[in-house]
Amino acid sequence: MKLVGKTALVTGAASERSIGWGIARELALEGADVAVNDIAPSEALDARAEELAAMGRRSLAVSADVTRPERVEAMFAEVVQALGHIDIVVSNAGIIRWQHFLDITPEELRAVVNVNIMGTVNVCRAAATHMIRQGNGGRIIINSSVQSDVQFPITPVYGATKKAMHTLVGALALELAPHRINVTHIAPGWVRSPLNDISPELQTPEGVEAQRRVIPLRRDGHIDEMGRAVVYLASSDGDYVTGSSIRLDGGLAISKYSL
Amino acid sequence: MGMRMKTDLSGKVALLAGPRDHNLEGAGAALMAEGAGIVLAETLEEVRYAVERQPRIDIAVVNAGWRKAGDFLALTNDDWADALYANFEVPVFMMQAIARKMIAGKQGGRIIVLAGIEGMLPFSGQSATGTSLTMIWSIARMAAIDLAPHGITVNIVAPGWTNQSAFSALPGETQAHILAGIPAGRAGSGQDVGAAVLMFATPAAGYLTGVILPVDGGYVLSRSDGRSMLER
Repeated sequence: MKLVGKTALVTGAASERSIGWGIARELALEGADVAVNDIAPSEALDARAEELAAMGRRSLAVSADVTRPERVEAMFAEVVQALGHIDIVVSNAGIIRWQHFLDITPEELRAVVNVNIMGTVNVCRAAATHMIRQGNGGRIIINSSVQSDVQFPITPVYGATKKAMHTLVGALALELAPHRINVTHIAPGWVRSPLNDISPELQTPEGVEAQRRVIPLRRDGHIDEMGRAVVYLASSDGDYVTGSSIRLDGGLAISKYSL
Repeated sequence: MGMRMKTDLSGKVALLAGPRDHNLEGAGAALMAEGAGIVLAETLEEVRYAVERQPRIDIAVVNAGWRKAGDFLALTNDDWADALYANFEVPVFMMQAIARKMIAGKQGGRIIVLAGIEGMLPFSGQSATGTSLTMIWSIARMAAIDLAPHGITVNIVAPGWTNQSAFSALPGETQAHILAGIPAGRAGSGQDVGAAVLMFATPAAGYLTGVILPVDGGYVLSRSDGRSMLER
């Protein structure tokens, strides 16, 4: 086990089909104590914390809207009080909207930017502040998207917020390196998480098949596969990795045409 | 060779949108020199007004020119809100208003976005500026896809060290450090930016779209300061 004695917080982890939960579970399987967050208290979030406890880990369900900095700060205080310290922070919460460029409304743009950028900024600021104070380094890992590498015109605002993770993660990695805080991101492709439930392209069996055919490995990614990459980045295996990303997309980004 | 590319933009209307700085002025000077009529609109409201009032807009230069340096932990959420509004939200809706006008005019068009190289690679102390600039150039490339069927191209010019007066005001040591990272060995100017903007505005550039063109003397090519480790 690679993460015994480490503590982690994963945002956006209430749904059992979420990438956040896949990450939380894999971290716990490696021995980490894990706090799981989502926007509001729910039976699902409590159930996730109970599953982690059943694995023999200390765990915590902490609800907070990541777009509200004061709530994020209170969440970190609660996690540190319960688990003693915070070593690994995974900023996973994100939202998506589908629309073409000419149809973007200010409301949609602000909603996506607020969660995907400001939510990430709030979580990263709190994480860095705590880790610097602790003086033991740390890991900040952001869940971006395959759209950090290749974007799609049907999700222009979402894609912009994800492309920008290269720049944000890079700047954070540069600034936090003296504190031995490594900052990285993972870039998942098609995962059947709640985020993709309302994708207009995935509402019919034909749409799902078309999606499969554009992916060289011919399948969706699984949440535990996303979690394994985070374990690598969070553990000593990833000691020398900062400012970079791991794309986990079955080859989607390199594939121009359906095969 | 003494040959000069003939670029006649007379009769064309060019809208210069966003904060008026050395880069936007360089773009305006280059377009004007080739005969284009210039319309200035600094704010989103002014762009919307210009779009309503002008009979046509052929070329638009949209400047994402907000900048603020500061460590991530020193930047406030108000700084972030300013960056995301000025460098992303405002230029997005400027481009949208301009594109609708060009589509209605059925004559195609050229949209050129100015977004500094801080959005092309990460810099310490530039998290908010860089993030917002990456967002605008990346969404501009998606706009390029959607607007291509209307004969509208969308390209991005990414200025490097082109603020000559700011550069001249730096201490000599800082200037030398910066110059060591610029393969061309000099700071650029608004004129350099204008030349790139003009290129995208010419009739000959109709097959170029979604391009991000750094105008930086080679600055983004390498993280190195220009000297090999062996020479130190």
